[in-house]
Amino acid sequence: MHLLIIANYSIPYYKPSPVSKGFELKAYDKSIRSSESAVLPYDAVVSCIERRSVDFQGYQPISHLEDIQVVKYGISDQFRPHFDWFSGMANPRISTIFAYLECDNCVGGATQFPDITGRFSAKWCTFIDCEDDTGAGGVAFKPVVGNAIFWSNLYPNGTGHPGVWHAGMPVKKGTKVGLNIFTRRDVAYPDEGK
Amino acid sequence: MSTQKSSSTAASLNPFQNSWFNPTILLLPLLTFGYFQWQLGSISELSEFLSPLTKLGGNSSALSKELKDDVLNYEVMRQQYAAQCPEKAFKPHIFSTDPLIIYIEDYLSLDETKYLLNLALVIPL
Repeated sequence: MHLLIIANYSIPYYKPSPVSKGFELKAYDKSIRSSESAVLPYDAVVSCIERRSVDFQGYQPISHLEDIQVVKYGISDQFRPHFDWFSGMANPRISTIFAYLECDNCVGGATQFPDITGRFSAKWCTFIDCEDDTGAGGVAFKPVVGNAIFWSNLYPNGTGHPGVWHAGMPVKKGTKVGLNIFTRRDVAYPDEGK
Repeated sequence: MSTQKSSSTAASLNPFQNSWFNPTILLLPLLTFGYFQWQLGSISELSEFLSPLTKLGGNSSALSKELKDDVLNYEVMRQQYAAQCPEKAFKPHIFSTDPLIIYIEDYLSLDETKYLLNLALVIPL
């Protein structure tokens, strides 16, 4: 009896994470992105996290959020350097919040911004891998469960910022699970009246 | 008897795809299941005095109690969040202003992370 229940709980309702190639949405390319994603359904707890995310950004309308996605990275899974914005997007993603849900004895799996350089206080070494030996350069935020990274994808004039080029570094050990919260400039799903 | 019980629980998780359907109602059968587990738990504790054979089931009993507690906790949490979003204290640290990158410490509580992980497991494709 117990086994049956456990088995039911561990069915992975994840799909391979899509990669957007320009306007070709829903393309799957394991060489670029090998994680699995699950879009979360409507739920009271999810709603509160959505509310928290728009309030943090100066009380944006909640309708500007894309559905929150859970992204799972197993061993050697990664998301090669990419932008969350694409030039010419009619309704661009103005910001990204990436939060860590799980790092089950995980090694690797940092969120790397290869083009961010400059000096920062040693206090940041709590969150940033100061002994980063991946050779990727820039800064690597370590996977710390419960913590999140927020960034703006665009310059104030609406064009994409090249500095937010980032990657989900390969997981060397364990599993890393993250949460993607994307905010659009306008209503995310205008046809659904959400 | 017990096999029947578990398969009905498994089936009750699937109708989640009807988004208009209140998930709370769907979880009600799990409460019965929890009660059932509790009953079985006390019976097996009693029978430990009577027969050493029941000790074989000791591990799985502990495991199911954990699972039962989790399911009940998620349900309690869902009700609390539905009534009112809790005030969540977090610590933002500006890492960069150009581009704007803000590191947010404690953005999600430990319970929230567990809840979301579980939610990602039980939603249908």
